[in-house]
Amino acid sequence: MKQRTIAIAAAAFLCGFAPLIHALDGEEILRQVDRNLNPDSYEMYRKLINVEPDGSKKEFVLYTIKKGQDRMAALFLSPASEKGRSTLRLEDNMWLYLPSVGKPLRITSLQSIVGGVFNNSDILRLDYSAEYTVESSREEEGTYFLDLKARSGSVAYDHIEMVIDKQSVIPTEIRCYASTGILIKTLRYSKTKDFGGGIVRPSVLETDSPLQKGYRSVILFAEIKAREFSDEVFTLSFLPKVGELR
Amino acid sequence: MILQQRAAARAVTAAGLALFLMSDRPVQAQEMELPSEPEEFSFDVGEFDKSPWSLDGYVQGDLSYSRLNRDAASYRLDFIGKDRDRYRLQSGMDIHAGLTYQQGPLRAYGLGRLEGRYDGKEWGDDLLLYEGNLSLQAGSNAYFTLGKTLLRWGKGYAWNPTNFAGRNRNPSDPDLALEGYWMGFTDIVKSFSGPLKALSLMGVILPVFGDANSAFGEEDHINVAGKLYLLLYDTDIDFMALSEGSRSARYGLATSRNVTSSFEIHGELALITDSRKTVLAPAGTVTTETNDAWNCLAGIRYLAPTETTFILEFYRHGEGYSEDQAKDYFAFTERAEDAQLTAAGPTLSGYEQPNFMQNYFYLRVSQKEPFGWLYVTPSLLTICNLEDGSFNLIPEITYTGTENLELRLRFNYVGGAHGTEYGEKLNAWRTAIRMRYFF
Repeated sequence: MKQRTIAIAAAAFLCGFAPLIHALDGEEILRQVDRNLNPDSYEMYRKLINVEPDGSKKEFVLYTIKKGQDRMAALFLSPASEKGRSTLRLEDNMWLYLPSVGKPLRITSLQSIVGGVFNNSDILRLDYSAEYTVESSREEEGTYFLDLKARSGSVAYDHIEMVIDKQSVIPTEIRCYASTGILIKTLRYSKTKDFGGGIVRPSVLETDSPLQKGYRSVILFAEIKAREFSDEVFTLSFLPKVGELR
Repeated sequence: MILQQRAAARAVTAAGLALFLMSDRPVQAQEMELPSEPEEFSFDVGEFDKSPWSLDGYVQGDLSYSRLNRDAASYRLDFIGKDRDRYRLQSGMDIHAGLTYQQGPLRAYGLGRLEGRYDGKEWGDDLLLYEGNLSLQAGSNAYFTLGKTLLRWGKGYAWNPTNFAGRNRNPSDPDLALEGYWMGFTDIVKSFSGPLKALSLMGVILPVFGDANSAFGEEDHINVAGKLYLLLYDTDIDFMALSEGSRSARYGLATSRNVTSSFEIHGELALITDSRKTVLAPAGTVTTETNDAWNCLAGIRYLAPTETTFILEFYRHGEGYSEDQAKDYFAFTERAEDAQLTAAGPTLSGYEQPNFMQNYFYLRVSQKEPFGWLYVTPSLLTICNLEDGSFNLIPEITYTGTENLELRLRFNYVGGAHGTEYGEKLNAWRTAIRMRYFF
């Protein structure tokens, strides 16, 4: 009788904590995704291409730096009309510095400083685990599926579904939804490449949106390198000088 | 029994076929919806290797045509001793270039403009140095700058009442380049974890001697200004001060914050001690009023789901003229002879500033690529004088479809009765086209 009681108690204990163990697994996968996509602190060069419905393209080249989970800055190197623009993100705070305006202006995550399908939160993307919590996770035939929920209302997408290649623990497809359940956009990672320094990750990120039919945006990644920065680099005072770090 | 088995087998086969066909259709549909393979884009990062030298800027050409308001005070002042036209055609060519040289922590920067302009009668040219300075980066948390520099303090789009060490912008075209002042300044910054994420302290010395910085205020003063910036609880907070010198002492506060992922609020508050204002009586006599004045601004920026951006600001210009004082000024300019207007010129400068009265409303609405018009951004801007009800209304279309080329078409309509601020502006309407090529 005593043994049965202990067995029932143990089963109840395990049942009670099973969802927690499950959630912890999902969070661990998400943290692994973050580290596999980029080092904790790094610099990189990106080309962002907006493909319009008529097939015409607009290209932007950005120098980007990031530190930890919540600090990121990007400087436009091209085209000439955008050169010198820089953006900063500190947690949910975002600013844009325009040389013609001469001071940083606050921007919001759903705006887009480059047009196209990518918005500011895509361009200044922090770690997924910093912005989202794992609501549920499952595993099917070499693939993880994570359902993520925004940690706060200021995050651009209310929830996202992430499809992850189990072997590499790298996302292949990310579907981003509004709080109303409307699909805002789908992001697709492809063309995994060895960037050196132990960084092996997709070199192409493509997105389209049912809300912007015919538009497509692509990011090509190059030269991702681990690099340490001081916290003060990610401040408004330093924002016009990000280019001096290159 | 065998027949029953065959019948069952046929039924299963038919059901399987039906299921296969049914299941095949959505698969086909999904395949149809799959995006095409990404095109082969190329990215040669070597093209962007850094050079110590950098030259950026644009070449601009513009053309405007205006209908002049011959009953306006601005018209009477502008055309003293000149032929009085009804229409005005103006054009210009500008080269606006910035040259940077950086070597280690040292940086030299110059920004200038070469301009040729036709004012409807004759051509003129001008060469102006907007900025020219040397900076030293001392680590990542301190830097020093010496030379001609434009500082822009404040959070507002159209107005910045706390911009104590810079020049006032034109609220109708706030992105226009402005000339800096000769100064030395240092900025020290520190990051933290917790509710206070960043703190920076800026100290500015701005001397006014002879021709140097004469536009700033009274000569023979060394002006000291400072700004303390805090990022506290995800809110930008600036405290500013300017010591008494070329201008009276003034103190300011500016703040901004993102409320949601598409909604931002901002505000500024400035106390101008001993603000002096030259007031013109209807008879032409001049008195000077000295008071402490509060200038303040409150604004929002909102991005609607339709990709429409709204910027809305309310501006209380405590140093400004009341409606009665403005009417006295307009009455004087209407009655005065040219010689009187010329003689009174220096005392009238306060009335000739943009938005010289007390309460204003600013609204800018812009729509990204409406109706699928690629690279086209139409916008509508209005500034309304809340005291006399006069306003200007500026519809604008910008086209950026060709790389590094920007085309802007603007129409400026002025609405207001005789004796109101906008009703007394020089242009009754103005249409302008501007083309910029960036290099």
